Amino acid sequence: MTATNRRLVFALTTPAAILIGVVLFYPILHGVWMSLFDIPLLGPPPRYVGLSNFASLLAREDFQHAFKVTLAYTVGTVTAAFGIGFLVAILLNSAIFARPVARTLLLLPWAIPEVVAVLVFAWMLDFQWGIVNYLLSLTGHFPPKIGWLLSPDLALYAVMAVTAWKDYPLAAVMLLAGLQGISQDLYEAARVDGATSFQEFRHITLPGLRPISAVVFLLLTLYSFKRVALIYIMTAGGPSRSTETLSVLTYLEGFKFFRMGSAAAIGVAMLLVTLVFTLVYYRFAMATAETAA
Amino acid sequence: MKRWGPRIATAGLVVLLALAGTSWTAAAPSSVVLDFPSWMWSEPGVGEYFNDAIAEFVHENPNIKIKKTTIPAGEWEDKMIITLASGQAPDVLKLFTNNVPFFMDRGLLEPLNKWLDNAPFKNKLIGVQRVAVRDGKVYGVVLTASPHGFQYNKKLFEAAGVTKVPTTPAELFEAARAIKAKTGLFGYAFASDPSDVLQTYISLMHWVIGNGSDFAKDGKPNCNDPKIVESLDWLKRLLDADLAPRGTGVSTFRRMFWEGQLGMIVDGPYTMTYIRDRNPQLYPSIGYGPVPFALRDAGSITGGAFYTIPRVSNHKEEAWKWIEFINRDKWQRRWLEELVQIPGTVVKPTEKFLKANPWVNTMNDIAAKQKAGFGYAPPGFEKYGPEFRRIVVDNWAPVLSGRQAVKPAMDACQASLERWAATLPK
Repeated sequence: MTATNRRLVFALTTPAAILIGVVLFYPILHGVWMSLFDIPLLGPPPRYVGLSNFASLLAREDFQHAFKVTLAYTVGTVTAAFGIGFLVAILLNSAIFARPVARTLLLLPWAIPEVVAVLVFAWMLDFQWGIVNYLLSLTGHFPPKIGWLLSPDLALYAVMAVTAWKDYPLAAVMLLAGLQGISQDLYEAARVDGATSFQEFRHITLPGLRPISAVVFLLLTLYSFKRVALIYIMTAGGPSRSTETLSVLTYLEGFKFFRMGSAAAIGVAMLLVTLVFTLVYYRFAMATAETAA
Repeated sequence: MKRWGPRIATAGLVVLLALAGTSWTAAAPSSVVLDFPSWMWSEPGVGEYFNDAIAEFVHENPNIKIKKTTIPAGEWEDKMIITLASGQAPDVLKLFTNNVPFFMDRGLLEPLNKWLDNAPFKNKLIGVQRVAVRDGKVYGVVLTASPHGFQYNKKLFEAAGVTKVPTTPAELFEAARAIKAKTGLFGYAFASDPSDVLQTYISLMHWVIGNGSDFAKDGKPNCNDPKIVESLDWLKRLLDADLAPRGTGVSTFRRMFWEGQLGMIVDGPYTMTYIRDRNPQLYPSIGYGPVPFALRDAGSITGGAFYTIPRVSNHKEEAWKWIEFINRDKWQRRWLEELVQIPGTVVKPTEKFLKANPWVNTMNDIAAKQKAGFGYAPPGFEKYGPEFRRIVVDNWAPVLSGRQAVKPAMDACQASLERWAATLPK
């Protein structure tokens, strides 16, 4: 590359770099700065407290509880969304009747705005008038009323189910793309060698999906880990904090209890965890690219 | 060859237009835009009231425009705190009565004495006004008072054979049972959706305050006070007997009440206005009285709102003009007689109005006996209201779901509050 070209490249990329710096890195750095201060909203001026926001977090029961809830929520939703997405991808990849229509319908949850979906589900799961309780009661095997969103024992499962419903299309689309990327020659060769359907699945489909599966897992994990709106609208973290994830706790800490420094500290802690996931994702993507090359 | 003629002509025209625009701007009176958000703009009846008032105000003050932004009541407190924290502020700031001390104590509000001392309505403000006074300085002008009362559907009482308006929790329970048995409808409802912390807390407080207690006393948690356990036990009995819906939000049960599908509620007088506007046939059949708890009319939550001017407002004079305007007799009477709400100044209702709205006298009696803002803010923990209320509701949730009895739940509440209170700065 000539010196002129280098200058041109520099000139063309600098505005984008500045923009990214302003909209991406400045908020992150500002968040880190805030986490080092005690910032009572509408109170006295911010007071530098060093790392004590982080130290107190580790000792706080609500932080520990939220961390456990976040882990349970993430594991539950990722497993469910991936599982359903995988089955849907297999289904959509086979020669089913009206496949284009089925694809549209099965991927619809991804297109429905989160707030709308949550409000509909909240009504469906309503203790008193929800259709879910009504349908279950018709079977005669369930109690007449179940407090899906009222009971601290059940609310997290209800929220996880709605999240999985919202997220599985992402998994399905990506896995479907992965399935369609597997060469048909491999299946034909296997059939010539007398392989059963299960053996084809075990030795061709699953290995062929491995790279994309890892990406799907990581993306679903990241989405679940940082999700606020769905949980907050559905339960606001309750009942009895049973659905209070770290993201919800951050929101409550900052915008309900007005402790911005502490909220920023939780945000930074979450950022670090997310960074680990991102690094894993990055390394995996690089390794996959090298293998493909 | 370049043709310069048209270019020079165009440039000249642009310069002339610019100059003309400049001279026009200089000659016109300077226009002020008052930023005036509210949760009331879209409320039935109230919205029209303010639209009319604003139209007349703007007509009288052509240099003032009003920018209306609607923010839901449930988000009001958070949004205003965040707005003020960001260094911005509306010019006219409506505050719920229980929020006034919070904003006043942080020096966020402009003292209004210099205007109020000369205002014609100064001596006509209702008693609640004292909430906005600190060390002789006045930081707000009362907009309305909303004493919560016991509201009941007389038609359902009649259908259920309930001949006496309940005056005790036991009578309320029996009336609810009769309504359910005879009509299949719920007899009573309260906010029991734990995701709406504030409304759930207020619903509990109706019973707790009515029984002469509070979740905090003298700056200390008081969650397992026997009076609290006793009063909340009635709510559990109503739920367990399926006489009150479980997990229901305030907007749902209000709607049920407006539609005649619910026997009794405890709520602010605005519900009466909604019924009058949305279901006028039902309006004459709705009764309004003191709460059926131990303290009766001396034990009601009293909400309300104030007009204030933030210290950082750029248009304080114009903001005061609005406050003075809306406190004129015409608008105050309309607030009472059209919206059937208690206005900020004393307005003597006409006989005709009282005949059509006999419950208004009861509302006035209740308001006269109440401390304003009473009920929402835990005494001694006002600064930490949202967190305090959340802890209470978190511990009430297992009762709502039927998993726990009231006493152990309130013992757990007390323990949680004590642990939390110990972490607060002294």
